[in-house]
Amino acid sequence: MRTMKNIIKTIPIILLLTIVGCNDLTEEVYSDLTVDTYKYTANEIYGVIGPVYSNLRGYYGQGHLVLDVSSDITCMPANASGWDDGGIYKKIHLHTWNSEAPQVRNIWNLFYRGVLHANRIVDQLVTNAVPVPSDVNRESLIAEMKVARAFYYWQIIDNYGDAPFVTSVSQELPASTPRKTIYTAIVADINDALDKLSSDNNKITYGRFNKWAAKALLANLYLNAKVYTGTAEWDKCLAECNDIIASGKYQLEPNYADCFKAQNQNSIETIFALPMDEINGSSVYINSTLHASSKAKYTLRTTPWGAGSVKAIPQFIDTYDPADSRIDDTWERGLQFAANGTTRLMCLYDRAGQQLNYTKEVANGLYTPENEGYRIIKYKPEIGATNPQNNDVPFFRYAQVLMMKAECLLRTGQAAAAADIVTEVRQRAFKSQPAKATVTAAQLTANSKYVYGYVENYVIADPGDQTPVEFGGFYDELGYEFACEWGRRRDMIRFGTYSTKSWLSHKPQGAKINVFPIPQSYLDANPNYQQNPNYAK
Amino acid sequence: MKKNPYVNCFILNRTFRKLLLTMKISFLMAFLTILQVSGSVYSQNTRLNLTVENKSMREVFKLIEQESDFRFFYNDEFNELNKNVSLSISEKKIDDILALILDNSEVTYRILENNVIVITPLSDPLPQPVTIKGKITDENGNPLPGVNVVVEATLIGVTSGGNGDYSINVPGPESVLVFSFIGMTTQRITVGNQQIINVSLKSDLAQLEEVVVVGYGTQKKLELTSAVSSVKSENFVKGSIKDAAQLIKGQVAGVSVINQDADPTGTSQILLRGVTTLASGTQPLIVIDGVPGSLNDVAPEDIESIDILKDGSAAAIYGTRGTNGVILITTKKVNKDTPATIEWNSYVSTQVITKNLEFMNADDYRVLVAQGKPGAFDYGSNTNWIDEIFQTPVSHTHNISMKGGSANNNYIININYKALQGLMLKSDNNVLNARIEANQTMFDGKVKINANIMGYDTKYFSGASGSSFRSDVYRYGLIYNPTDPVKDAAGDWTEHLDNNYRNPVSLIEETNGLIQVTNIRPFGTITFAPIKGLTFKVLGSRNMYNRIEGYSETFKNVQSILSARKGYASRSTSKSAEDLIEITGTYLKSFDKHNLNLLGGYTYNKQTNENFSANNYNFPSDLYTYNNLSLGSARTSGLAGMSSYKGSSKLVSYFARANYNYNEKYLLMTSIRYEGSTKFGTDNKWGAFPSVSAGWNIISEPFMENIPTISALKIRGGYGVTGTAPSSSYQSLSRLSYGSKILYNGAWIPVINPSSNNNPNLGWEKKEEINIGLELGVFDNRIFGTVDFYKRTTKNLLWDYSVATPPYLFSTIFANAGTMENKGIELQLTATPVQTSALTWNTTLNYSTNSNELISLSSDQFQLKSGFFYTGYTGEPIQTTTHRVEEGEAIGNFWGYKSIDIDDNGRWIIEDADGNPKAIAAQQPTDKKVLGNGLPKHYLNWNNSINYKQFDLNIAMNGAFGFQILNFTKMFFSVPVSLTRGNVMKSTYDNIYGKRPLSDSQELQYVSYFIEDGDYWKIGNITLGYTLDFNSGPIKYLRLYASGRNMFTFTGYSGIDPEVNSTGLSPGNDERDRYPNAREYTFGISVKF
Repeated sequence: MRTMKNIIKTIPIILLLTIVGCNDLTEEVYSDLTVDTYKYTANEIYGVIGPVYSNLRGYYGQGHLVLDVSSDITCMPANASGWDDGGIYKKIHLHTWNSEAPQVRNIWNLFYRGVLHANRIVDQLVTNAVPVPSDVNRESLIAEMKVARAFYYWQIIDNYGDAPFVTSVSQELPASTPRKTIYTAIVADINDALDKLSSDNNKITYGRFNKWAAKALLANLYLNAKVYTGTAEWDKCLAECNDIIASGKYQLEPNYADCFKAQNQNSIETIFALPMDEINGSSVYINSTLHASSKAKYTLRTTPWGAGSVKAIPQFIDTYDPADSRIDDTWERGLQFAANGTTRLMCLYDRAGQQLNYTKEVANGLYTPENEGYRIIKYKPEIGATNPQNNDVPFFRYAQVLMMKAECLLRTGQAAAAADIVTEVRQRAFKSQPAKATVTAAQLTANSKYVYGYVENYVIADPGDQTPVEFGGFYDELGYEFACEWGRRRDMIRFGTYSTKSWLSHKPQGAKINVFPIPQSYLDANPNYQQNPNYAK
Repeated sequence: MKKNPYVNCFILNRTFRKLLLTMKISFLMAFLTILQVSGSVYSQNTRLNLTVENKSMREVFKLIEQESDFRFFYNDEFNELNKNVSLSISEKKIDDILALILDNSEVTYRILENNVIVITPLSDPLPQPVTIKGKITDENGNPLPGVNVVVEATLIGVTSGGNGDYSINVPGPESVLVFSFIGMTTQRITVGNQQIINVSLKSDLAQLEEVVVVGYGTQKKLELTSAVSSVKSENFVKGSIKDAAQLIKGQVAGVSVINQDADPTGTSQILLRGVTTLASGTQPLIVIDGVPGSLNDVAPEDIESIDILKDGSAAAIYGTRGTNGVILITTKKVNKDTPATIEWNSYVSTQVITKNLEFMNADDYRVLVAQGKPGAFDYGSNTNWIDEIFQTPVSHTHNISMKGGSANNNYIININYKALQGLMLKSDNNVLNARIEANQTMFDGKVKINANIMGYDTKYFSGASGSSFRSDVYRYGLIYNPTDPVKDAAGDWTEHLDNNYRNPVSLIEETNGLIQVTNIRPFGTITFAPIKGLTFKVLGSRNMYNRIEGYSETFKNVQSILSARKGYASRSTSKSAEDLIEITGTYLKSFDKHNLNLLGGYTYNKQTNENFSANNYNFPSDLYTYNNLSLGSARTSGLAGMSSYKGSSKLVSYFARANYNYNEKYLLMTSIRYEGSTKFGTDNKWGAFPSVSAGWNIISEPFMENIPTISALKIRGGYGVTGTAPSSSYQSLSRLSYGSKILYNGAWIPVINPSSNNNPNLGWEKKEEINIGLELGVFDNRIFGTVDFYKRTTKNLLWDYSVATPPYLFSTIFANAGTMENKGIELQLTATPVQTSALTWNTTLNYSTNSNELISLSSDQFQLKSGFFYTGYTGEPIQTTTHRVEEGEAIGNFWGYKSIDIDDNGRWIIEDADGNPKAIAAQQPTDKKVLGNGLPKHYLNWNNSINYKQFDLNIAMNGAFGFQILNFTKMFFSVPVSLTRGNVMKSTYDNIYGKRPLSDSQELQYVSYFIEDGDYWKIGNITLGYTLDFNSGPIKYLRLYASGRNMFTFTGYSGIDPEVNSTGLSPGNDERDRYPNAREYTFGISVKF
């Protein structure tokens, strides 16, 4: 009985001890790092600044779907293999998108994520929250991040016009900032950064903003300044291009295709690239453009989706000089064979039984037979490639700097000098007929060879606006050189064709489509923000 | 005098009390009845002294009672007893005294063997007594000791002995014997000429003395102050039962059990009183024998009772996990001396799909080919793809239960094995559930030890990595071209190289996968009762969940072909452990008519989850399946994947509860739980969850004695706060992760960036609930009804709210915001309309309605600026959300374009924002509208059980009304454009709005045309059983039964089954990728030895 009493006495004490000892609620973290506990080491600085670049790689998966598919170069019609995605790409071709178009939302999020990463990293660097190795200049990294942010803002004002402008770490819901104000601010940021950036072009600066990439960015801003601000900046653009040319760090690849091939890293022509990798990379065109049977041509370790969809618009193909080798370096055409060169590749759907033959003609931009339309092969896969591919994507390349210079010259009354530069760029594309490489000032200033018009059953049913395109010859040259490099929409806006001309199944939808609507998801989350006026109802 | 153990229950027995009331005899008399039970006979030879002067006979009797053990029994209405007498006697026997008192009166007396003196009028003398003997047993023939046997309208009574035998002297053949026992239906039998009366008592669920399980203890139903429903095993739904929830399907008002598919590995959805939380689903907390667990933990055959704490005042004792209600499962126990018994139950089942959807067959399809429809091709064969992917499933279940011992020392062993097959090819589930329980009492009953081990082991085919079936197989079964052969001439599967169109048979056949789960839970309690009324209890439990998955694709798997790889295999394993320590103390005290019950406790709960997975491909042979992962070459080329994770969380709580009642008439309960979780921000870890409730047993008031028809009447009301914790840990922390890689200096290095928008203020979501209930029983509770009104207000709703980019890096943040309200009424009616010796009909009808409103989506801490968010997803290629959750609206609103017409080109015409017609191509987000709601407004259930002689028939019916269903199958496959992606429904080219079919080029659209009314009434379960009685031999009991589940559905809905998902935020979506629902036929046998 005494034992029993002792037991009774000890129980509350045991209970009390247990209870006091077991109420610590600090979280034990095993598979995560936390800001509070993680100590950065100096040599992981490139991992710290990396998000602005890794984020940009997503552009490859998103950019072409809006920017090129909305242009007069490519379209994405449905076909008998069933791939249609609920018609969302047809709307891009027709310019009948609304604020819920997923592509419009996706690039918005991509660009702003880049901005927010840059803001955060700048803050980390400025406040010394992350250590920097002794041989790296902190100011240089800050400058680089500001240029990266300027790059994203360039994309934002280019696509959306007025937009939220956030340059510091904050959780305030931003209001709209005029396109021009953002333009001015980012031009200033880039100019401030130039002297702090590395002027090297090597493995360490590859895929990053060095001084020359920053200048290429600046040149692009100036080139489109009239669109962004109403004031042209041809001379400023020209100056930046001249600086890059004068640096001697870059030159044209002897072969056009080498800019885009699978092992194109550290190309002498590339000023700023999105490095890609089949293990660490991103998604690519190949699956959305090639027919499934083309798998055998490159012994792919992936199967392109159905009959493929991203197709060249025939009216654009018709503008090429047949001797221009860039047509074959950009487009997959004609009868298709397996990698051995003899086994015929076959159609599988509505043309089942026939040999796969990518024909130029496309019935319309909405629904086509499986074999119609040339397919994009610019970023040519290696034999045995998969999705993703190894081809890096050159975003700014030397040829573009040359062509920007040429355009500035052309627009400032120096057409002959412009023609010389264009000729220089064309030479590698006309190796079989070198004489054809030469263009004249007159050719550049003439109307475009593009026969605009609305197509039904393979023929133009409604030509629409036939006003000549100013500097149309030069405009065509941009198309040959930069097709499927996401710049066509911007070029078309600068040359005034995007919202005025008809092509394939597309008819002009008015000037409002020169910018995209603010994504509905953003308006929903930030109700103080107003839709771009043209899309308000 | 020795106190009789049955005093309490006997006094409280409503039936007997009513009897006394009817007789209008003094309430004191009740005690007399009991006193006799002791059997000590007060000698009639005892001599008494008595002196009275001018007192009434009544008063004299009382005096005698005071002086002796004699007790008088008379009708109060005898005026004779008011006659005054005067006498002075000493040392006289009772006979002499009574002779004096009653001299010259109109009454006479008789002394019965148990010291009871019955006073009767002279004109109505007592007849000659008869001795009746017999045996009392329960329904299963087990002897019932301690049953009260009383002669109606008298105080004559005995208690049955250890073997159920009794013997009683009754006044005469017209006497009526009343047999009563706690938990059993009282029986009345007129003696007549019988001398032996054997009685079999039936369990009585409606009795108010019923004990129900509440959090951390039990309570008499009479004393309950909150909405608690209790379902005992005899009322469970019968037949083929997959999990515990199906046992109570339709049995409890306000609790919906939804079985939306026939996946043999699936468990039921449970929805209790509407959707009250956004992020945490609707699954109530499930507690098995005091330990939180899941529906899978226990075999349905091993369950004795299921108690549901519906309202907040009941659930508040479970604090943060009580918002969706608490389901307390109690396994079968040994409560009394039980000989070693074995019960065996086996059944075999098969299934057919509830409804086959009408798709084009090969002939229909060829008509389309002939018409040159885009996408239609004739491959020359005739295949019914649904037949190809279905099997005729045969499932069998066996349960063996062994038990024995005494109330204090006993054991229970239950083994359950299920070998289930599903409708879809290869679909199966093999489950072994086992439970062993031992109870031991020591040290003079001061210490009780309970030890358990409970667990299951399951394995099933895995048709997709990590899950039991590939959800799109059924879709391909519907849409694969019916002219395509299963295999081509070369014996290879026909495949079309498209990522969204695959041969469904090859998907199943060219996949090997197995998921195996072992869950073991040892747990036990030590109960220590040092002094009377005080009990300490320590509960310890460890739940160990181990899962291993294997999945592989052969060389001929379509993914191998598409990705040009030689096979693919993955392995993944996970372990989670949940440790629970719970210390409670209870103190019971009764003084006068005050009854007090105090509870205090502490719990510590730690969960740890760990997992690892790896995959590889390009194997030398696919015969290894997933069993030799290292042989793949993708690992060496850097393409194989690997991942691992560990996380943990803790929940610590202190709780207390006080129950008080006065004479079981006025009831009061209050509780509080103070609980902390690791999952919240530093300053918000702890929360308090109080409750208070009260009840009034009106039936116990004196004025109710005049209304004998009413046998139970109680009103009760309560208020309680419960909470919700997020399912994942670490969401308040500012986390970093190594994400994708960048190329730096020729090498790919990982980048480090935030993992999510962190929210250091993350805190508790709390629900406040008011519940008012009324209970009414009439005719001895043969009809018993309950009505409950509730209002639940959930505040600081946790959700992954959409935020703007910029300023937020990620598109959502996990935060507290918003308030939601649910109001509802629940009605439950149980009745026994027919009860004769041959035929009994019990019926339960319940109805519930709930209305939901999201009051706001803002709190001090976080404001969802837009006041709404979207949820639910159509899936590609439509790629839009289906529902909008909006302030001022109900959860479950479909949100999209309202189709009103079709134009001349066969394209939709929708209604624009201003109510005008608009071409579908011109759609703007502002044109979207509420198109219906997927949450049923009304639930009605009606269960019947009829016993006729040895037959028993159970019919369970359930229905849901006032909701809509989005018919995905129609939205995707009853549209001509879908012909480019395979087969379509027969209705594809039907006229829309009576005008014309849709155009071949009308792209798929989510429009209101595809939203249908979902109202349904189901005759869900029909079971017919036959029980054979064995008077001798080893078999005590044998029952054969046949059962059908999901038998008949009355609905206007055109999909497979209108019983679709009703939980979460996107209810009413009848997905195209799914496991179909089935009708099930079962034959079973139960034997008891």
